[in-house]
Amino acid sequence: MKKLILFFVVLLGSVLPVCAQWRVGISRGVVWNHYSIDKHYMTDWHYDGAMGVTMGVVGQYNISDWKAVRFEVNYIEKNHRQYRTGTLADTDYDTENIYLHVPVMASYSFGAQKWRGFLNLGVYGGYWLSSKWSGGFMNTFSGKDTRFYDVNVGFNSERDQRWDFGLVGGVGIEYRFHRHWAAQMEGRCYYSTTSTQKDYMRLYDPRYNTAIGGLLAVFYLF
Amino acid sequence: MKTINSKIWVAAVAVTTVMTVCSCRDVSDDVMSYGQNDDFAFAAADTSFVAQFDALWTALNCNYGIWDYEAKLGLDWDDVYTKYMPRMQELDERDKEKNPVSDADFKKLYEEILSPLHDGHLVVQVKNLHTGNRVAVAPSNMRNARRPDYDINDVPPMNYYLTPAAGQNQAMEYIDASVRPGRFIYKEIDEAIDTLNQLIAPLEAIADRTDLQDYFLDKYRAAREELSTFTLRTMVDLDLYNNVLTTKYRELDITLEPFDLSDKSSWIDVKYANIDDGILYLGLTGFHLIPYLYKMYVSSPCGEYYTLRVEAAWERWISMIQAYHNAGRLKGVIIDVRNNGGGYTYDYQYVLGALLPSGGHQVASARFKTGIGRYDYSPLTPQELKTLSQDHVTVTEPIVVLANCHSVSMAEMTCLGAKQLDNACVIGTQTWGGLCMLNSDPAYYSEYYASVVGVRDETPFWAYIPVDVTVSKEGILEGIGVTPDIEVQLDRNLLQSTGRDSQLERALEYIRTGR
Repeated sequence: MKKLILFFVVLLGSVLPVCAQWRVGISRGVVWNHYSIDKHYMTDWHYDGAMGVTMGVVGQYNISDWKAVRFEVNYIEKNHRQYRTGTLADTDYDTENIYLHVPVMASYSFGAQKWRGFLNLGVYGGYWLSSKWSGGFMNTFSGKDTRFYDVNVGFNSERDQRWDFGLVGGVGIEYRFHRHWAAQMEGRCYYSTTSTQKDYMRLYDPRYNTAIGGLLAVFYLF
Repeated sequence: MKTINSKIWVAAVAVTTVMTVCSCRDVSDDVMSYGQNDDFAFAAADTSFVAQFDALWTALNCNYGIWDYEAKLGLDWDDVYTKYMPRMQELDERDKEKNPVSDADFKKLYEEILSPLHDGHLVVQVKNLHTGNRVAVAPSNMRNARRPDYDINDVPPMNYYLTPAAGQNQAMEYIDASVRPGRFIYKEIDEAIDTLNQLIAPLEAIADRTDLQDYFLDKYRAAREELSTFTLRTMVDLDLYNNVLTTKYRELDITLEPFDLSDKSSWIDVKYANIDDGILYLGLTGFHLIPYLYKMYVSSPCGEYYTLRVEAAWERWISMIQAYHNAGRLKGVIIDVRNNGGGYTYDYQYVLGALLPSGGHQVASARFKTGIGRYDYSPLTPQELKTLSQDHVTVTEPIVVLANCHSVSMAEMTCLGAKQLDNACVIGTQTWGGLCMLNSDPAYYSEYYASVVGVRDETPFWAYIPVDVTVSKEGILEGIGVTPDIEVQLDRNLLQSTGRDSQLERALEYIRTGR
């Protein structure tokens, strides 16, 4: 994973001309992911959003003083919780899903030289790197409450859609504290339009992630 | 100003575009629950073969637990839908009055549809909408019917081993506590005949009987005649006994207690033997010990009769194991689960689990349904079965589990348990291949969103589906069964000519030689 991020940073640096329109940076933040699923008749199953972290590298090319194109490579966790109520309330799974995202956004900024507001809108492509389960389960046949931690969820190539595409948008403010340095704080949303499941059976049952988060980024301006 | 307006305009267009594109998420198909007799879910299925097949296909799609396993074995459930839907349309096009679908053809069609499914417990009952009759299909029966020992439908009797001819294999002690209706019913009849004889004898001794005495003598003799000739062969005979004979002679002050163990699964054979002074044998044809050991049937004379017998056999077996082990005289233990149709998981603690340390024994792993998707499964969790909690010895001597084609479900779990032990061995033939856990009570459907869909004999289809999926070290064993460590076919010629049980004798040899 680290090697992959490093590769993208080096790649970005090698292809971009060093000029005033360019800036590069790193970002880090937290995201809250909401998993949209139709429970159908399984009414005592519940799905809650869960927190995760995100981090990445950012490159931005300014077309004018208020328009820019932004590229990122992000590590992002799209977690959720699945649990039951009623007699089997001990059944509670926390699912940790790690994705690699590559958002491409149009960035619009406005304001003064030092403090500026901005709006990012674009699309992203991603890949589901891993999935793990932690939690507990009540097996009524053995009368045993089992706890488990970081159990790998084996991907099923027929079921799991590991490619992830969707829309991304964010608003934030930027503070330029040095001629070459700026910091950004952004609220962002990744809205997946790709189901986490392939259309693998005649019954259609898509499930989607929506990750909303807060990001802090630091940029070096060329 | 112009620049600001331009920015606002661009941003507004961008936001509008995003909002529009956001609506491109798809929604799921509607899926109904078939776990209960829900009129909405089943209504259409009672009107056409197409709707019936569609509903059954969907119910299995959402509730059946081993679609990944079936896919590995080459089954595409979507293809089944595509292939058989036109056949259902043809059935709908037939004239119900002039050219109805026969039950035989209907059964054959559903056998073709369901036969690729490997779950060892799966039974599907489908209503022929033309005749109103229901046909039942059990894929595992069809599959196992091809096996060489499928037609062995009883455990060989122990008679030979009760005689000196058995030599060192002779049973020094034997208790047969088999729960068979005849045992209790014939006991009741014998007691009634004894009573009648006691009433008849003094009347016959009277030379000059009154009309009333003659009347009763005739009645007593007729009753004795009828009871003496009663034979219990079928369920009709059992109904005759329970519904007629038990009350027919009340006028004569002769009452017979009914046979009220209505749950057929509780009719198990339980046998204990002490072979060769130290090989302690327990045979049982069903894991239904708990109702007897917990005295759940003692409220009736019939239940009490069987409870005392089963308790005596099991308690003798377990107490002799303690005594012989502590005295250093225990040579080995044989648990015979041949022709054992399975039963309660909690029974494990009174059979193999009675030989293991307290605290439970993990025999496999299990997973459960977590959604309607064909591949929506929980993580694997330990499938741990209870072991005896009361003070007992841990058996370190050789243990043999005898199994055959008709060892099903909990009998197979017992084999899996034995395979985990260094001092245990499974002898016999491949088991049935139905290791998943079930709960046949529809009220528990929503516990794991599997088990039974529909209501038997009521809804247009009904299916008995496992609740969980048992995953052994070797993987899912549905349709395969547990492979014995030592394969021994039952020698039918030897059994018929001498009464000797080749599988039991191989178990005795293993205990004596360790091989």
